[in-house]
Amino acid sequence: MSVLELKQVKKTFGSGHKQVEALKETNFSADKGELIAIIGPSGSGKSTFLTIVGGLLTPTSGTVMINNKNLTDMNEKQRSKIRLNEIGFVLQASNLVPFLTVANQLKLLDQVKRGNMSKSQLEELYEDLGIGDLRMKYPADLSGGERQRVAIAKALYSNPSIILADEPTASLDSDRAYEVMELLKNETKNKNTTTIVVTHDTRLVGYCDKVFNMTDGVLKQV
Amino acid sequence: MIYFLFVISAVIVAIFLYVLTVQKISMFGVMKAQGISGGYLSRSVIAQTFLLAAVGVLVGFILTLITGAFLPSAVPVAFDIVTMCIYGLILIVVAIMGAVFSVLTIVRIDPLKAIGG
Repeated sequence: MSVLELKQVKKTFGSGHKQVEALKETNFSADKGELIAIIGPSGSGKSTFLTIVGGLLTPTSGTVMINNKNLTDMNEKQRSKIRLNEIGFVLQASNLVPFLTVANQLKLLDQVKRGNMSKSQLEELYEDLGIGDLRMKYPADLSGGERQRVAIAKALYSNPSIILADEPTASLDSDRAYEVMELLKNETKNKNTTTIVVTHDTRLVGYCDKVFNMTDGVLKQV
Repeated sequence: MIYFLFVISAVIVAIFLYVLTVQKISMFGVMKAQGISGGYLSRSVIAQTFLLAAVGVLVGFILTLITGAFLPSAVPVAFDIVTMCIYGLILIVVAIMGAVFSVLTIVRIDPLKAIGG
């Protein structure tokens, strides 16, 4: 059974002469334990794709199914719940709150989704990602790679079935980029989640189970 | 005269709270993208405003009493604790009403913009 399914999803912006088809009719599905890369130049529609999958943007037509729940029929409140329970975001400008320490970043999520992770599970998460020593630090004191690892921890915290990563390795040097990808790969396999990485960085292809190419709004498997 | 004072302080407090919110718009957007509901964020902002206003009123209260104690006896001043409490409460309520403005902004934040997609 696929975790994520897109059927004839299309997204157009604007109208009339200025109409742009950001995403042409797309069919796509992803299974558990898959690490998928979507590669394409900027402006090719890959971010549009990711935001539609993440329930942040409603497609012009077509349906998005996450765990057999139809995302396109939902209102913002229900989608927000899906985002909390099923989806973990890792964003390029890492999604950390500047005035909270690493430990408190995760605590904030615990406040919203109470008792989601036991103490030992949390310790395990810290250990897996190698951020145990950073928990009293603020985002500004972390390096780019460390920040990205904390962002991944945040995305993993709610045990999502899908992890969406938008350029997770942007602003990282090669070694750090590989490290982050390795981490995403391990977590995908260990926790049996689905991870979709959107990037223009072709170095990362080797880590992925499936690779798609996005050009001018058309998604094609490589 | 004193009612004017309330209006003016209400406006100042509301603007102050609004600026605090505007500074954090992108952060609220990110939190919303992660599925933290607008309701939760709004409740947090109102609760924090209450704390801020309560502490503010308390500090004001103490400073007033200290000033009163140091004024020479030639200056006629008298404090009516009940009146002070009532005005203090009104100020807290006014601050929370100011926070409601910020809440409107938070509810309208589009998580998409925060992500820059």
